[in-house]
Amino acid sequence: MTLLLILGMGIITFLFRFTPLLIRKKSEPRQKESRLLDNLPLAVLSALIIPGIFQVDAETPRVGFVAGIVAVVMLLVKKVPLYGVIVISVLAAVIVKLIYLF
Amino acid sequence: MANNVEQLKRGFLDSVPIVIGYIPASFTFGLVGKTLSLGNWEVFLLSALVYAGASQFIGAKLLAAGTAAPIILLLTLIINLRYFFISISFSRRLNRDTRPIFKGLIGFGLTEEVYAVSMMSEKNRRQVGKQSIPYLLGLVFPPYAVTLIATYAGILLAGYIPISILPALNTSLYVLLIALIIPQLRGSNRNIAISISSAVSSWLLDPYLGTSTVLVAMIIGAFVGNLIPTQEEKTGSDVI
Repeated sequence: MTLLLILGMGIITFLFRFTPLLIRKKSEPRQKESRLLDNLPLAVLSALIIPGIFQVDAETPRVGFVAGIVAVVMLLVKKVPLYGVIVISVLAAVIVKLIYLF
Repeated sequence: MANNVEQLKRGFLDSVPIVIGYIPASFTFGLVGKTLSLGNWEVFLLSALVYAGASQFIGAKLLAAGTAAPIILLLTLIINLRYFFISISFSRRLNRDTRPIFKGLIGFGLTEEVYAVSMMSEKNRRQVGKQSIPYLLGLVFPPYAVTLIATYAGILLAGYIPISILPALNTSLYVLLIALIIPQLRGSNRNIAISISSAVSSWLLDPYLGTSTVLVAMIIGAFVGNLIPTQEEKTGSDVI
């Protein structure tokens, strides 16, 4: 029973992701709804980051906060490769967490 | 043919940051699922069939609480509706003549992170055209594979691992998203407006809307962006 339910959840999720890919109509590039779609990637990502990053570690929101700040500073100040940004920010988060634990 | 292999490789390379993020996230999911006293198969199948990050956690919690099936399905519908918009936006990057089987595979793997990388990574940003199928398959497959492996590892090792350090590792997913949006904000008032308005509305609405916050916030952000003229629409003389 539970397995059927999980399958149902999977089908719903899949249909949301799959159905729009089947549309074959050509969209006019300068139309208003097309401009809204241009804005969508940035809007989704921004909404996902905040407040999500503060909730990664519900007990110590500072962990996510520090990782975010370190990442933003690295991206703004100096050209660090993506892997470097991720590794250093996560290390900063781990260090903050360890300080809180001990 | 050689070009296809090249594209596939490029997809694999671009998927590495996503893979790095999904390992701790899926591992945590395996652990948390077991902690909620769900069966091994239930935890694994949530990763394998639903494959949708945060909504998997919510699904696991609802299942463990014995919530009625129609309510779980309704909540899945609401929480995952955002993928519908993500997919509409993504569909313009996909060649319309793509075979349905490939559309199915790519659609199945179209998580937020995959979407973000395919729309925004530095190499693709200037490219208005379509993404090639080998590239997208290369981008989609590794994150799914590590999700399965790491979920399984989490299920097996539940009970042996101190769970307290894992959240800190999961910040990597958010750092990836930040790294993808910051370059977009340079020199574009419109993009800054989109980003700030959707982030702020998501922050403010989160306590009230809970899981459907992202959906509402992204629509607000997209509309606010439309209020700001783009660079081409301006005369160019009003640079301060």
